[in-house]
Amino acid sequence: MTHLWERLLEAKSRLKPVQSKYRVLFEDPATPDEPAKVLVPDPNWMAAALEGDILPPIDTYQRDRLVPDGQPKEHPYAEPIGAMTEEEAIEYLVMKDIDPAVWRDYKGNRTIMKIVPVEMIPSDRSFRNAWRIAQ
Amino acid sequence: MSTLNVSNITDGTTSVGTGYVVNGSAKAWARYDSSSILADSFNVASTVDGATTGQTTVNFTNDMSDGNYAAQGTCNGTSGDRFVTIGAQASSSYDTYSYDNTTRTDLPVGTVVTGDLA
Repeated sequence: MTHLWERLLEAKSRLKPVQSKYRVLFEDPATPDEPAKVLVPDPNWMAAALEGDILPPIDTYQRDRLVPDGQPKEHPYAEPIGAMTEEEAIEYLVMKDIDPAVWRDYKGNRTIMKIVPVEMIPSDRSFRNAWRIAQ
Repeated sequence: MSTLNVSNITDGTTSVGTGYVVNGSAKAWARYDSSSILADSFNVASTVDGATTGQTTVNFTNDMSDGNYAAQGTCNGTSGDRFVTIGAQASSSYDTYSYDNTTRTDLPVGTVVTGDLA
């Protein structure tokens, strides 16, 4: 199996980047006084997700998070998965790049994560340190 | 994609092992604006516009083997007192902080990573 990094090299030379029309707003339940964070998908990563046969299954990343540093990891050599829709790709990114304490384990009543269209993110950052997810 | 299996590269006079070339190349890089929106990159899955001003988390697609890699960052500016520092480093991500003089500020950042891949 070709290493993931090599597949990414090949994909970058071939695929046109895709700017996602979504963002993921989330708050860290461990630091409830902090403003909301915004996850921004990478355009080259999104192109690879939409193309298919490049990215590994999400569960390989989740198992690798439990592997101690320096030990062999599963995701670089895992069999790649097929093409995703943009919505599926965003869900994949949530599970990959956001702490499970936010999207899986949180049991409170507040909404602490939302997938939103880009247009819903304020362009004026004057009050960036006060951004919260509307309830 | 074709693959060349060679252990050394030479110009006829000087020879270098391909291991030096592979190990010395950048494993990830990214260029993003003051809102952490990526203009271009390699081996990056996403960025996170952090909870504090000037903070961005860069998430890898192909993780590094551990947190002991070299990450660097620069930011645009003509005044000469803008700079980027690197915060927490994990095998799957790292944080950048951009400053204008001593004030943490949202700025366009370019960053590059060298080290060992997972």
